[in-house]
Amino acid sequence: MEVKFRAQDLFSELALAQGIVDRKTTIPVLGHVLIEADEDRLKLSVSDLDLSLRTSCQAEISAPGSATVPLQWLHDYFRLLPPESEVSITASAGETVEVTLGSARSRLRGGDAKKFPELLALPQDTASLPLGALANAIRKTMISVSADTGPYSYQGGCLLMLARNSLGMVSTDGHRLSLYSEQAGLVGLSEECRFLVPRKAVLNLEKLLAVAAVPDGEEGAVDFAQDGNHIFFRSGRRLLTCQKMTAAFPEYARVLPNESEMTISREFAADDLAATLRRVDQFAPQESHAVQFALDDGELRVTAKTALSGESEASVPTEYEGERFQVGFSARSVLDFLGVCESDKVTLALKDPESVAELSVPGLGEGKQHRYVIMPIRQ
Amino acid sequence: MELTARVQALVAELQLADAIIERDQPRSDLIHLEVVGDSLQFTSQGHSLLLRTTCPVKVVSGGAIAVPMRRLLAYLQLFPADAEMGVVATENDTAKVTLVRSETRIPGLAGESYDVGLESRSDTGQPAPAVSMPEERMELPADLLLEALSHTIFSVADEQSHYTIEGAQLIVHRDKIGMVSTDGHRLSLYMREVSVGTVREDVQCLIGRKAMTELKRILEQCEASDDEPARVEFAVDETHIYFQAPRRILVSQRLGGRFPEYNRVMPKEFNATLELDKETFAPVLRRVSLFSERRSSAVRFDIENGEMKMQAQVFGDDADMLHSEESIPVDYAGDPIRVGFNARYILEFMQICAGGAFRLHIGDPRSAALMEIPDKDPGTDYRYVLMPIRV
Repeated sequence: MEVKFRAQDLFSELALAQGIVDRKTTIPVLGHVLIEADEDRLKLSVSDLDLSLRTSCQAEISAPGSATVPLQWLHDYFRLLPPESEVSITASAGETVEVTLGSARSRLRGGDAKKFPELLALPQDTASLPLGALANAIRKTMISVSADTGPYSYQGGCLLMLARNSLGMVSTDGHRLSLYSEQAGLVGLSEECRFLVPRKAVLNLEKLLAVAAVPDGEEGAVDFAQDGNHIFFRSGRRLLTCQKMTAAFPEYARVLPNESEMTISREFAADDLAATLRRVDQFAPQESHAVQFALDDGELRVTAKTALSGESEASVPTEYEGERFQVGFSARSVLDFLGVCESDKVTLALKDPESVAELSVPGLGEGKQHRYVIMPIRQ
Repeated sequence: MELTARVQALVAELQLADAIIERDQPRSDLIHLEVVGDSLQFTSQGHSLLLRTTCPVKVVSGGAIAVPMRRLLAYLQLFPADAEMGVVATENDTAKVTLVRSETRIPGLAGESYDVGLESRSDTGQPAPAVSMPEERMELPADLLLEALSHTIFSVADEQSHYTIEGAQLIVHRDKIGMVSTDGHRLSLYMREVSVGTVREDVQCLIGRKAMTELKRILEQCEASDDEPARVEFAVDETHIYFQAPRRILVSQRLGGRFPEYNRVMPKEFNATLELDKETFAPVLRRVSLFSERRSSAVRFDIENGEMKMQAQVFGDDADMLHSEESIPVDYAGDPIRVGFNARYILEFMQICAGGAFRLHIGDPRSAALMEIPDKDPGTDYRYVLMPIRV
């Protein structure tokens, strides 16, 4: 194999591949990237068996062939190269891979391309998902996906809901639930479907969307497909394949409070509320982040207290008259929502101190829905 | 105690204390706050260091309290820097902090129960010093002292270097000031000719790494006035070293031990002198050293025929697992030279090489090399001595 390309073209793909490869893998070949020189492209593949990414970069091929190379090394080395430099990679039968540019020659021990797991190709039958709506849904629901799922494995993923005219996602970690959906035309979708996508796949999909090349004036789209056990997302030349999660997602609609049940609904300035919560949270218990919200004449008072660190109290102005209303929440949960709400104002709706509360964005726009339901913390 | 102040003013002093106070003991996280005149005085201490600083505040009533420094700092940093805050010490030894529609109570200790003063050194049984400068003191230019610190601090031995002295030698003579540090593998020497008028006798003392770091931070905040450069006062007694900048005093225990005779290690004869440039040299060395053994960072240099080739390799179970080489042009036509160095030590030197140009003198493969920065101010002597490694 002998290929020549621009350092930066390969490096941007290696950076994406880093998210897939598990550094602690016990199977050596899974720490490698498979490189294949074919026609006018250098193809790259990485996999952790559950999740895999195939991508490519433009290259000049003198001799086709393939090899596997330790990804971490290749990534660290390319990070130090001038982005515009012309780099060659040659691989001989002896598993040695040589990287050259200018006077620099580096050799590293590669692996046998035949040992790399075989990756699936994108099925014929694909649907087109609007890139913007998918990116929004991911950003707004990732906050309530749990990194450590415990007994409920559905908490470690996002439920992707696709219909002919809408795209949505929902996630929960047992303490809060995020729901986001947008009306959009999904071209090529044969039937309504729902999949639970694992956290790691969603995180990597988000990275692909962030670097997707969308021509000016166009919306951008992601191809989506599925087979029995896998889900496929293709953005331009990059294909992400992941195993479907088998866990059943709970009937989330039953958790969503009904608007008519809510007794209090008030608007707040989002950055004001966030700054206040961040300060008071310093004095909340480290595990639960429990703070007390008290609505009283014209203000929301937020308080937290621990024996060791002390106590803190702060207020945010709001239009409220009536009886004092007090309820406890995790400051972290509310801050997570404020971090992704992308709005100057947020609405907090409450029923009673034992029931779930809801945070939402007023005037979100036609066809969009963003709901965030949090459980109260009892004192 | 009751006062008002700007958030920024307190945060600046708490940040200086942050590096002094040890992180391993939660109870020692306390900083002592006391109203002195129309200022608030901060006292913080670590294992061998004591820092006392002040900042101007609006005093309502006097008093003192000790509070957990990191908790207070983390909290205040969440407010706008120019916000006005109030601090009140309440009866149950709690600091009440009020600002921007919030009120916070942080439990602390009564001011009196905070022991000020460094622990006496157990080996000498010397009493702890008072936190004030001794009578006999010298004035040093802050900018030169800062230069001396930044040119030597990186080659001070750390826990991993297994070298007895974890500090640098500070030299204050009538006509020069300087610092020397070594970890046994390399040595940095910075000397600057300057007239320090107030020196009665030549001073040489050892200053610990932590004290160097803190002094560097204090000096970086010393502002020179229009007509005069900033100066710090320096004093030393049997057991301690003292530095006083405007509003701030740092007291450090003197390190025990004898600094080696560094003049004897200075290499004098070389086979080659190379004029190099950081811009071309450093990126190449950084890339090649990625392929070196983690522990030694060994890189081999082959210099001949106008070319310097750098090479590194890591051996795996069977030979030659990783290997990299790259070369740069150099102005050299003498006999071929082959020598090995720790790349990390050279890259650390690069960081203080602000102008870009540097000079490398190489002797035979077993003797030390010398690195210099040619465009230093007149009267400055900076030398970096590097032991070669076998390759």
